[in-house]
Amino acid sequence: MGRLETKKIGLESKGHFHFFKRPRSEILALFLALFWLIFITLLHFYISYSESAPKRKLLRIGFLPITCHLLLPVTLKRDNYLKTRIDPIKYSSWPDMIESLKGGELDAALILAPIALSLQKEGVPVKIALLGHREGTGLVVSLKSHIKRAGDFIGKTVAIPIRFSTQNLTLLKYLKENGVSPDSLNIVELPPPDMPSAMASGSIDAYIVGEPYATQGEFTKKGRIFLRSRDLWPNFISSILVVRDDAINKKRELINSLIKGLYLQARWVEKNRTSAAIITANFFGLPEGLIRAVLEKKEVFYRDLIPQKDEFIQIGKMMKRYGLIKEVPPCRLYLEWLK
Amino acid sequence: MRRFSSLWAFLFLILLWEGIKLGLKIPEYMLPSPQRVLSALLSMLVSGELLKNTVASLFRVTWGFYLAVFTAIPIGLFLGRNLLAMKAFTPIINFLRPISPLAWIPIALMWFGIGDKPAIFLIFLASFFPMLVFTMSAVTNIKPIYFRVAKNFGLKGRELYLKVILPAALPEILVGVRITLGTAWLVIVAAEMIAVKSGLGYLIIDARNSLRMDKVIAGMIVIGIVGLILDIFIRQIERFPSVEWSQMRR
Repeated sequence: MGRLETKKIGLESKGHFHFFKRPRSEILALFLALFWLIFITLLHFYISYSESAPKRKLLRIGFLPITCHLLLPVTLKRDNYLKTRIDPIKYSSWPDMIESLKGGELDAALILAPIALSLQKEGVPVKIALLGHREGTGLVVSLKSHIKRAGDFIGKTVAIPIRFSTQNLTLLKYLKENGVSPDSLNIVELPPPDMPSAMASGSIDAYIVGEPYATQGEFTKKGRIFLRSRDLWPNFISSILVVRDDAINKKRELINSLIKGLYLQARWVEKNRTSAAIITANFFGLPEGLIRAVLEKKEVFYRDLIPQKDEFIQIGKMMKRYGLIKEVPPCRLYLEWLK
Repeated sequence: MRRFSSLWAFLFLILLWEGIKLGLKIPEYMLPSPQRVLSALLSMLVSGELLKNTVASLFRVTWGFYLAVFTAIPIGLFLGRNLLAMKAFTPIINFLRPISPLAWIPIALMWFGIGDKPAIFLIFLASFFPMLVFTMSAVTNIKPIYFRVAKNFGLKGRELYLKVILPAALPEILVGVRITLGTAWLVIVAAEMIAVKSGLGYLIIDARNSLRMDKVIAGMIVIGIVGLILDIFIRQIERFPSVEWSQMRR
């Protein structure tokens, strides 16, 4: 039986398969594979690069789609000089953007103030050039959690965007001031867009985050803003603009006009909050109603944006106090654009 | 009826989805309805967004996967024949293999910046090690009698590789190719979660940041469909005479 079968196969592979079909189908497959490689490569470059092909823009700046970074879309929309020279790169998480900044892929970025300080401490050549905004952070509590005062947070799960954030520092400050030990609650890091739905599903009881995700928490009707940054930390700072030293050296003029542009547009935003909200919602792809609510309710401000050294020293001291760093980092500012 | 059994199963899945949503009164932001997802899918199809992102993902998977296959097979053939080299390198391979491509993301970003390159690198990593292991085991599984016959005929060096080792190991290697392609496609979302401006992974992350759950699910559906199509194509490998022959041999 077995012998018979082997004989049959042997015949086939010798006569029909081996000399005719076998080489052909495998070589054909190789050709098809090569054709596919060329086809998909050309198609990809045709589709993805035909629109943005004109020229590689001169300056790359990283941002996240949050209202703390609103000045960037407004400036790119309204300032024609900068529009053609700045390449905004959208990120979805802080760590990814930090790595790009470290690697030198980005010339500038909007990042959280404590991250900027810790980068400077690590020796990453960046300087702080401008604040992105003031205020605009909320501590949102779930309606189901019945949190009414600081003591109610004990045993609850609270989400923060990232350890190195002024949101985290604010929360810790609030807890300490009210005699609650941070160890008595469960603090977790969560990407901001996930926070409202995580609270709605009951996996977290509260979260502290930059807008629009605090207002979004109220929109889901499952939570309310318990405290705003201004109640806890007057003139609160979270996102700031940092620029790399090599970009300052090589593209000083463009960097200066970018910072000036952002600074000037901030004044326009304060007077035209609704228009700014519409521009931003389109640019970020976020619901317009949400961004308008944030801006029209004046949850966030775009004034007093020139960085002050003592404010950053203050943040550095808080970072040390709450064990994020061992020593207060030196704070390096870039203010030459003011001249 | 019987011919379209798999279509009926898909239909059942959609009805189940709708049923659970209505029955448990799940709000839109937790689970969008099938109609919303379908309309998101159609609008992305019309706007060209879907084509652009699918092509970008396929481009990255193709390059990462090809690079892996065309480096892993020669290395695997060589290591499989050199017992000393295999003994030396196997611990390194087994050490690197279980490190998830996700763990490489920070490194990929710093080394390759942003754009296509880090994603291709991650897909390469995800496919290289499985492919290498498949090739090595394919070579070590070749029956010793083949080598004895080859020796009798005086085959050496390049000829031995091309006329004996490669054809004998090919069936197992091709099965490896098929499985590895599945892995490569699996990694695409993770690879595109890092700063790129296109791709199906990006589509999902971007939709999530814009609070559009319907687009998130639409993106997942497209990934599934493309994966299905890729598998149908790569399955043709099993119909190669060399593979069919090896299956009969067993």
